[in-house]
Amino acid sequence: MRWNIVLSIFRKELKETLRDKRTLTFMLALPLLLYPMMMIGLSRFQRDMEKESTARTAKVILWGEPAPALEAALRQNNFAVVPGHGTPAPLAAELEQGRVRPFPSLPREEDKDADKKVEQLREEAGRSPVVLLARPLILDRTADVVLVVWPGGASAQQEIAVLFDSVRQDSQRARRRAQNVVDDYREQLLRQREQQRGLDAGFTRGVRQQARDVAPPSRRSGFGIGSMLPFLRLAISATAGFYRAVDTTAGEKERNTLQTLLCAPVRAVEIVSGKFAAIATITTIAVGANIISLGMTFGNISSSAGMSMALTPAQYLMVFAVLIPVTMFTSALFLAVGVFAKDFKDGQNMLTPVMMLTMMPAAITMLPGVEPNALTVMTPCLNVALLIKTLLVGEARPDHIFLTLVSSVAYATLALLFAARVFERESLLTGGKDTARGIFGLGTDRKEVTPSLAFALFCAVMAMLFYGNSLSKIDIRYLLLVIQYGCILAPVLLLVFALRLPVRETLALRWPGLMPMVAGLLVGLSGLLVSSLVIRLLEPPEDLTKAIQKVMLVDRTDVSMWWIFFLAAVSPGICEELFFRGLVQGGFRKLGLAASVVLSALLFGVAHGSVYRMLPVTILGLAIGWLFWHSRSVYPGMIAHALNNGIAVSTMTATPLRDYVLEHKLRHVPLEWSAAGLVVMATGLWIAWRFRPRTAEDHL
Amino acid sequence: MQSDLRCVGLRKQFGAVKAVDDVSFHVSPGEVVGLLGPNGAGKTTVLRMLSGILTPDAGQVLACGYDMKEDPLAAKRQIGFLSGDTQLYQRLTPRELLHYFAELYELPKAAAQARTTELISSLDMASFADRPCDTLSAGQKQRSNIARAFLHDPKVLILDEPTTALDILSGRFIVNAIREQRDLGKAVLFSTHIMSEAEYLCDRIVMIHQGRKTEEGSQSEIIERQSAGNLTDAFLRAIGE
Repeated sequence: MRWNIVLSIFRKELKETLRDKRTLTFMLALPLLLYPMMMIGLSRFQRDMEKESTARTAKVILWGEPAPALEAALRQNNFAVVPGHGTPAPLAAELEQGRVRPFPSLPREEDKDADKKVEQLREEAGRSPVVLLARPLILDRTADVVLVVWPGGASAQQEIAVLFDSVRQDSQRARRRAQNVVDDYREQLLRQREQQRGLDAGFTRGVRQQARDVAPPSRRSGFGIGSMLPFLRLAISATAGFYRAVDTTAGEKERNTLQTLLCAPVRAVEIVSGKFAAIATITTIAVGANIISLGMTFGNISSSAGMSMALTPAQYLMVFAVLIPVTMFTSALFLAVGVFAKDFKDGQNMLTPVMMLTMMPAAITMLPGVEPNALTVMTPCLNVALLIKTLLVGEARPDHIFLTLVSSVAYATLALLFAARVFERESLLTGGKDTARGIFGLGTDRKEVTPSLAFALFCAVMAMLFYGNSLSKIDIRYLLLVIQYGCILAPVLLLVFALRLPVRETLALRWPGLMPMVAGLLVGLSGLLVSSLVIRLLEPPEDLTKAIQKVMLVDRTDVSMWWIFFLAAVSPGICEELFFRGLVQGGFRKLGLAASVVLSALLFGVAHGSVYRMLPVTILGLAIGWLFWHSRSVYPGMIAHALNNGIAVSTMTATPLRDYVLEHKLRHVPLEWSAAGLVVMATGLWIAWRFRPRTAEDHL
Repeated sequence: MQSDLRCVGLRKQFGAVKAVDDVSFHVSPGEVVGLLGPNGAGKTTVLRMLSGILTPDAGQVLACGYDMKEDPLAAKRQIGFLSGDTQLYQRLTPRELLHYFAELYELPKAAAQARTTELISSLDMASFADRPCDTLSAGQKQRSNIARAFLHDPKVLILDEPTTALDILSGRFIVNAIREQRDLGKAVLFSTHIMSEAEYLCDRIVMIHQGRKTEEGSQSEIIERQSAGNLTDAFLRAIGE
């Protein structure tokens, strides 16, 4: 790829965008003007409405036997008692004779049938003569509320009902105020009764309950902003990237300008990279403008309301950084889908559902109870939206941050690979159609695995692992078998056979000679000692340690050692090595020694699903990757991997080793052991380099 | 190094439709070859394969000796492609457009600057070179497109109905520009459905019908072979009308 060409395409796309009023409007004008106008305007409008409502004289109708004190209290609190509307005659008689019963209390929230019961009570109340008579008076605005005081309660408990219209704001506010007046009247009544009986103040009430919010202002505002911000960001940035994506793909096809680009000496990957960079930049600028505007608007609102500034600039910066992978994901997705459209209009029709799909998960975060978990941290867009929310309220856990960022970067890379693949399809670029088999190259004879195919399979295996792990209820032995052979090995073999790849060459199933195998042995013996150095830097939490022990079957006294070694050492040695080294690193081979070893080791670390495990596993991956590169065989890595896991299992299960660890209270591997391990590993790596195959025939 | 355009056994199929079937011909330096055929004959598909936009299912394209399949970047550098329905980047000016394509063709900056100035002058574009392309007339747009196609001084020019939708003056301007390029020794392949243009411009004619080549030769040779009075009649006879 020639970066000068990518840069030229990027600059041209950006220049066109900056001259496009429509995109500029969505990118800058909307966020910079809309938020202040919308939020400040709305909050002022709401405050004005509240003030007006408080100042407004509400109209109340009193039925039954209201005490003069209650009526006086209502008048004092800005209620006007509607004249000429005494208790209707038929109702008065019914109330007097006790034929109309007071409404029963509503069920408590914790009642599992609360919703059903509330609905039932509502239906029953709807048939009550009290409601039937009050309804027209409230609906035709003769009154805002009707207060019904059942007779006969002057010396005991008085039953009072406040009837209102939940749809009309005036009626809702009048209801709240009337309830406050009734509460005050109740307090006054209790004091009178205590005084009459010579009781201490508060005797009859017994307990006074008060609730106070302990959440600091930053957490409260973090929750508020965090619930809203991801949705706003996706909405605005999606629309900013949307028009550029449609214009640069379907629009260029419609104007035939794409064919001038295709007949120029430019590679498809350079075109897609330049266009992607432009869309991602525009979207990122839109995100930045959104965040700045939102931050200033919230600052303005909070200071005018006498509150401290809600979020710090550092928090906004953090949100911005987290949004970058999801911005890349949507940009690449828009670009890829846009190519399928015939013209601009078709592009809009195709991309609108895609835009809605990317926005929908962010809207879910506004629902109560949606928290980060194994499923949500892997769901595109939703994971980032939830991460923002948890970051702003200070509840983000390192593992969730890690998995969210890793999966988001993976989704973005997959979308970009898909876009690159689509841009290589001339039939799509010249206005024709294509099949999924054609786009993904299925059923065609290939000679080797490409880096993009290796990465795509890695993402597919990650998804399989995610679903495989959700079978946590089955016996751990079967779960390990499903994960290793079903989720890791099966996709590898499926790909090799589906693409008719040569099995031996693709998976590097080649005897490397004795010395590379010895190198594998040394790396396997020293792996745990070396990787323990980084465990000291980032110590895993208790629950993760227990989870690892569970996977190593430490607590399973009913399982034989042979089974444990087969499941926790031999199987990962075979399945994971065929996948991570044979297929993934083999696919990356054309990227060179450093890139192929580092990338496959990183993916190996990432696949272990935890930020705490990533570093030690990556170190092991680097060493095994080195063995693979030089031996051009998967076998030394299998030896090293199985031995490393076997030693780890032994320290937890084999009696002499476990007893030694317990006896010496070893929390970490002693430093001198790690130093010795470093020497052994370095020797193994040197042997692998020294005894690498040299003849062309030895190479795959 | 050869400075011509050759294609051998070109085939292209879209689904069940054979768009181009075993088409071979060549264009020599200093020669204008006209590609004639009725609508849907496969002219545009042939030209797109020759310019590297489409990949043939079979056959070979050689631009100045560079194989389009083996070394597409080098082959594309030899070719200037222009079609009548190609528009411009609406929010760029013609001068910016030329600078952009100069970067894509990796021309040195000074050379690109000099070539842009030269083309703006020779194609009489000075009055609109710095106006956004969406404000230009059809003739001005096509001149800008020609400048883009000529920018890297290609040895081969592939022109797909370049005078479509142009008025007489603009059409003549384009035709004269093509003649000038031929006189400079460029190999020009030119497709048109305007017979008078073909008669005026083309040294040789290749006729295709239903994806297959039906005739090739000079105008007089074709007229004689088809026992026709003029090129239009010869064309009609060649396609069986």
